[in-house]
Amino acid sequence: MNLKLTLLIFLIALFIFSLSTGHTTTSFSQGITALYYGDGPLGTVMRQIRLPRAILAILVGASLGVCGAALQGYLRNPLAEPGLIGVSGSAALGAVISLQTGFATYVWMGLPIAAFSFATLAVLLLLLLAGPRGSSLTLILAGIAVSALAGAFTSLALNLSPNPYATSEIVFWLMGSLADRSFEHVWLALPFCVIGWLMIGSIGKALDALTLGEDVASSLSISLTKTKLLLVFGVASSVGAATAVCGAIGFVGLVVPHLLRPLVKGKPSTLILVSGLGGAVMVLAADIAVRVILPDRDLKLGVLMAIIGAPLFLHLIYKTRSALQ
Amino acid sequence: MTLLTLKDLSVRRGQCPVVDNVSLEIRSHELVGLVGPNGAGKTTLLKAALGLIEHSGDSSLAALPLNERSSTAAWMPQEREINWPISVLETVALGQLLPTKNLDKNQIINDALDRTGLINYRDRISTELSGGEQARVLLARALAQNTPLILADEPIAGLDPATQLTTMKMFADMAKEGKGVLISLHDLNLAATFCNKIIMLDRGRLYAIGDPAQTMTDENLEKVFNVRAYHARTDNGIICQPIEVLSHSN
Amino acid sequence: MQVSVHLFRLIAFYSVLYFFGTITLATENNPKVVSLNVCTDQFVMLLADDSQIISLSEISTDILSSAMAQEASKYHQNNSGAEEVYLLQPDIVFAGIYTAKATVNMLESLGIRVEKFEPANTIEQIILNMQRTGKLLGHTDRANTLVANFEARLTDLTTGINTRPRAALYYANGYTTGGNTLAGQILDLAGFSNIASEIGIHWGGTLPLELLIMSKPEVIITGTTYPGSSRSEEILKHPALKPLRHVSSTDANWVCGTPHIVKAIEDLQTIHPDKMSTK
Repeated sequence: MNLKLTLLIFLIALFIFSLSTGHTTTSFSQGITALYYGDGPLGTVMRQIRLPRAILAILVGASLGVCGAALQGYLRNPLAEPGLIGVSGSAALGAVISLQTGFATYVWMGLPIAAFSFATLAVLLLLLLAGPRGSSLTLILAGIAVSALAGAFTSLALNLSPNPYATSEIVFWLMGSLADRSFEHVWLALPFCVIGWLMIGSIGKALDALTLGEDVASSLSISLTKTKLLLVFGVASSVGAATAVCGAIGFVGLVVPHLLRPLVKGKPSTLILVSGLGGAVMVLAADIAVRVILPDRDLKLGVLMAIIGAPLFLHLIYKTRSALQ
Repeated sequence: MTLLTLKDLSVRRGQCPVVDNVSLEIRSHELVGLVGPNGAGKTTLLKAALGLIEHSGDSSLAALPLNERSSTAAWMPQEREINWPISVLETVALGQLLPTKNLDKNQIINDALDRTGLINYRDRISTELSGGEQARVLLARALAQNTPLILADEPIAGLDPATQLTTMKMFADMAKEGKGVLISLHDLNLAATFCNKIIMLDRGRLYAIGDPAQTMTDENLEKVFNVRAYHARTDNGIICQPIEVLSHSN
Repeated sequence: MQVSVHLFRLIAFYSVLYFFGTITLATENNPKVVSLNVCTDQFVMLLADDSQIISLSEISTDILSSAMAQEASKYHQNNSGAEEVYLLQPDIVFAGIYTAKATVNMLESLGIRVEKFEPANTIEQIILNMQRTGKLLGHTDRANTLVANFEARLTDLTTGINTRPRAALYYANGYTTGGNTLAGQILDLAGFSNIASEIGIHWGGTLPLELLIMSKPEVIITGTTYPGSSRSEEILKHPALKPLRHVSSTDANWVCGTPHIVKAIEDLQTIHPDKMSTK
């Protein structure tokens, strides 16, 4: 209870901090006033530029946190993470293909639908390869293969684009950024993210039961098939939509559950909600950091996350290395 | 009261039958020991009875709709799996994931902790306990499911003698209170001492069924296990200690 | 006002230059040429006889980059490789100073004369480039006429401007250009003041969306959007830009420093308060 409240307070504080971070130097109170009443340019800046950016940081962070915790719970492996296992990369591929073919323009919700479809394929492929119980080795290897393939095809799709700018955007799709996103992106992502969260929220008990293995879970009246389908579609929906608008942001789903697990005594169902809050806090903080560290350079969020996440990932591999052999 | 009925239960792996036409019943007040050499099909029989694997024939348990399983039988697989560092209390409480109707959930969990002597361990982290303690936690978890039937696959494997004895005593007590308990065992002596019914499996077939004195005969042990045993009778029950391998030609 | 004074001086200066040019080049015959750059393509097309043009660059027919795409389609196009160009056996090759170094060096080592042109960012440079091209092609008179027409048109366009509405040039990735660039010059000649100068951008640089909104330009001129999709261009459709007055995008007339920039200026002036009434 206390932890959730603490995270929520952090989240609100960072949300306000995020709203007051930007190129325009304005006093905090002026900015917040403009958010509600401003009809001049400051109002536009607050409502159309900073507000959607902060909201997206929460959507994306929460989705990645929730999905990381859920995947780890389902596979009973702390190394499972949407970015590392190639789900984000595949979602990015779906998004790029839909943008370049015009599917995103001509079909309502085409962008998140395409990202969702590709993400679904990736999760299914991964579960197929990793088996019901994801061993670290299979997970990492399958993740490398799926990510590499998705990255290559993303690059190819961008290279084939008639648009000269597209080629240089591989970095965005592989590293992710929230710069200059608008409410259009919020509306594209929001429904898919929320549906995904609800799906994953509904398998909390099943993930708790899976702590004792599949057979015990099954004898506790848990339907393994239903759990698997809800997990696949839930992860694909929220990670897909988040990636479609902000690119693939790695390591959030790894770092956040890892840090919070000891605080919730490991219980997967509690960890999902807490990781959602934690993920939102982390991405909001990272997005503030990229604007403060290099304000003129659209520093990619994925870069910052990798700097924090990769050493932790290595540490986790080191810790579980006996299980890898 | 009959709690589990198996009728012509078979499991095939490819062409080869792993469990072959087994029919039996488990009633309340019974502690049933499922014995047989490695590969006799003990684990497969238990899993098929629970409906966890594909089978032919009937199992009253496997035929139940999914949502009724948790209130009918508790299952303890051989692998003692606790994947996350959750507390003893949380682990045991998983038995009440779908709470039993009309009963106090916390009362049931506390009873299970009390019975297994874990009441002072409730806030400890399960994964940080010793193997024997973890086995007790998982036993308490199964008890907390508060079912009339308990199935366990080698629940005493790998435990020290004292823990083996207390665990078997606990199963025997539960049977006395009216539950039906079906456990697979390798320890013929403990099976003979504590169980009031023995099911002997030989290469997937039901070879013998009955009370220990009827089933643990020299002839059966020779045929099924290829051993000769020392037999004795004490105040606590029968002793049946294998002491000699007969031949390798089986 | 300043601009027209400036122009007058320029015209005087170049007239002198011309005079000498005419004398020295009168004896040149008419060489056959290949052009490797979309801007030199246009100079060549403006000044050469049809028979002098062997080949133009591939981009010369791209309507997004070339102001003379239609005219260019009747000529041969090369893909700017040394081998192909050498086999065309031109007397002179026209290239930009940024044309692939390897190609230019190879051609020169094979004994082909390569004339390298700097991209023109100012009226002075445009005129210089026109005269140089005319001289090389043996059509100095044609170049003089063209320059005279160009200058007359510019003078006409730049007179009568009293107000200078604030405008912003805004391209993909939030890029903007200042007064030292061709686009900045076009904006200035059309009678607008560039907000890039206000924030100290004189060449090119990133103009954060927030700063753009906060500096409240009266007009915003965005870059051409290419087919296909790119995140870089999404910023040009950001909802925060909606309250601003958005004018048509930059087009091929903005790409090269050639006399075609007068069309870009004319287009811009359709929304200039001092020019609208005269149209």
